[in-house]
Amino acid sequence: MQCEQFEQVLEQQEFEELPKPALAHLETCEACSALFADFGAIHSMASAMAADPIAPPSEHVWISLRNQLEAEGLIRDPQVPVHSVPQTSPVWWSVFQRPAMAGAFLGLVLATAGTLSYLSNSQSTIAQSELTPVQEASSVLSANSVFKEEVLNVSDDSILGVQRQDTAVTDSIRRNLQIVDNFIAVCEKDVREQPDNQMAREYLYGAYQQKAELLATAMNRNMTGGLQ
Amino acid sequence: MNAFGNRNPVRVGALVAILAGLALAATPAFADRMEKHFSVQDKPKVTLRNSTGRIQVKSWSKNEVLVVWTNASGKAIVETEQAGNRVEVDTRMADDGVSSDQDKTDFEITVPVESELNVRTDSGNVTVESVHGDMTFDTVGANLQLTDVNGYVVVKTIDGSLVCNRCSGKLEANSISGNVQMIQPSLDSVRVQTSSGNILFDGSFMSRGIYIMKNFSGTIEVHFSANDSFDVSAHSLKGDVINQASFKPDTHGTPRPASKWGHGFIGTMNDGHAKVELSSFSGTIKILSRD
Amino acid sequence: MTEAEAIRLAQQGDASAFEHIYRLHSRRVYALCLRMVGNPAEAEDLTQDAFLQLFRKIATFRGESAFSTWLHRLSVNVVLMKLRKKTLPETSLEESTDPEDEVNGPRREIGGPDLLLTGSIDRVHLERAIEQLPPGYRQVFVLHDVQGFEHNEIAKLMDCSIGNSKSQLHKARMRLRELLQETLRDIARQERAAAKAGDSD
Repeated sequence: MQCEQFEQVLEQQEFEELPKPALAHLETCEACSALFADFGAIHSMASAMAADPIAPPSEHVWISLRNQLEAEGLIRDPQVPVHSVPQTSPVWWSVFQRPAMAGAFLGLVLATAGTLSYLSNSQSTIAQSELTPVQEASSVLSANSVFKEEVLNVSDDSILGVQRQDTAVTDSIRRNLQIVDNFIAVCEKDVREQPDNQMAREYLYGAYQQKAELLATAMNRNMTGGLQ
Repeated sequence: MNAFGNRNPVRVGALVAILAGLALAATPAFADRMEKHFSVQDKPKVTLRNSTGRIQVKSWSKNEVLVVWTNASGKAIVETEQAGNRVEVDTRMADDGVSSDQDKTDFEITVPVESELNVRTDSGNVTVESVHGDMTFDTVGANLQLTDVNGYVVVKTIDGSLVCNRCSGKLEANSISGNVQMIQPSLDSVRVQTSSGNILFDGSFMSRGIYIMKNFSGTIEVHFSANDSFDVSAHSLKGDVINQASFKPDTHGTPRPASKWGHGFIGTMNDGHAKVELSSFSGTIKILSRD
Repeated sequence: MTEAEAIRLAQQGDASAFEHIYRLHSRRVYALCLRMVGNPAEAEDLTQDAFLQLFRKIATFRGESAFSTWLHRLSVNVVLMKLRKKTLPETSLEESTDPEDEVNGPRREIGGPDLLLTGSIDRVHLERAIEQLPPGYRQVFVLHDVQGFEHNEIAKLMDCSIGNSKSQLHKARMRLRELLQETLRDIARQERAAAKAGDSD
């Protein structure tokens, strides 16, 4: 490995994760070794800076801020709530009774999609992936089964809630859920058949994310009674 | 004899009908037009939440936000609130049992040229003209038409379409089945993703601009001129890539291993000042000459 | 008052709760803004904007993440939105294809003489060097090495590619290395001059 190549590797990798050829080069090249050490020193010192004490901003920042908050009516008497939210729940909302649970598994869905997307993005051109393509395909499909279990029933429930409010919106959401489900099915098939097809995996993760967002839209309309 | 003395029933009936018609016209009907004015400073932030209905946003040179609305059934309640430079408009139904299809509330909003907009609606058309500022649109099936807008525009829609005419700034659009068209844009950052919607970009690529267009199926169509300067990466896993441009091999040495799956290519047009990435799962990508 | 209590009261519009939250976090937010923009007056304006946005949105905070994390991200967004609106060509994060930019960028002295920085520099030197970085390099360096954001997060925040983020970080570190080596040479020169002056006395 030449020095220029080493520098390219250093640019692409975090310097804690250098591949073996780069590490071997470090042992033989004083200049690159010094560069690497200096980067380490800069990084360590910079990381510690976040915790450094620093003078607070001038007091006028708080005074201006407080004046602005009062002008906007955000600072009120402690007993008066800032936002009055309608307290009555529409009857149909009983179909989807646990918003905390809804938020929790939507979070699970988005976290799953985000994690799978991260697994896809964390591949590098030089470092070897920790999972072989077949293993990665397996992790994708098992995540999808979690996704299906948690999400598909909810989608029907949330759509039912929306149905009472606006048929056009309900139909649109149903139709588009079907579109995204079809894509997920096609992508899953591709990933199963071609486990090292990175593009198919990326599209599968993208489809999961789209489905999660679509369900979030459906639940949002549902839980707020349309657009209250 | 006149009508007071000798009452001809036909004439009286006609007179009553005319008077009744005038009275009806004079009394507030359900399709009532309401308006509110808000004095604002520079760059107000206007938020509108509606369910269904037409929304038109225009600009003027006054430091004022004018909100005009009409509601066909009279059963929608429009609440407005101002806090400093922030104006919020919310539509809600008076009667939860009433279907939203019938409760169309149409809005005409006039804002200062430099304004931030945040619009959330389910259906109906949304048009925005000549507003400069950051904007977000969140719709289910509403079709959006943005003309001569400038700013950071974020659009999220399910099957509403988006047409951007002469837009500048940055655009992020996500749609499931809606189409996205960018006509004569001066955008320096474009990130558009649809599932089954078509994407059309017909304009110039700005130097140092980044243009990422992606869909699952449908068509991605990009029109170019001979003097455009961009690096392009176009790839479709299961669909076709149709190219009318003469690209030279990518000149920037960025290592991009060619994918062994599907059809595609990477290349440079002129000096490659902009970066264009076109990607589709099973749709067709077309790079067509405008000349 | 605990932070959680302050958040709950602030969501109801309690003035003292707002102040409590401000006092708890303003120093850190200001430090972040100052490191990103390098100008104290501007950093104070950005601090005010960040807290204004925070308090406007505090009713929507449901505790899904740590409050400080939420505030941190919001502050970064405020800074970046402000910087985006400025027309400063040097803040562009796009990979430059202009050869002149490459010439003015950090020199790559591969194989040249190196002064090892480890143990020789302190935080004051580093802070001063960061202030001298071009804005685009400084933003990415502060976000990554100081604040701990990952490249994919920086790419989203700054609307650039991950590759660009890595490239800018690398250039920032190279430039910082140069600046710090110059500082060390200056210090060494001053020490030699002082020693000479001492000998001649």
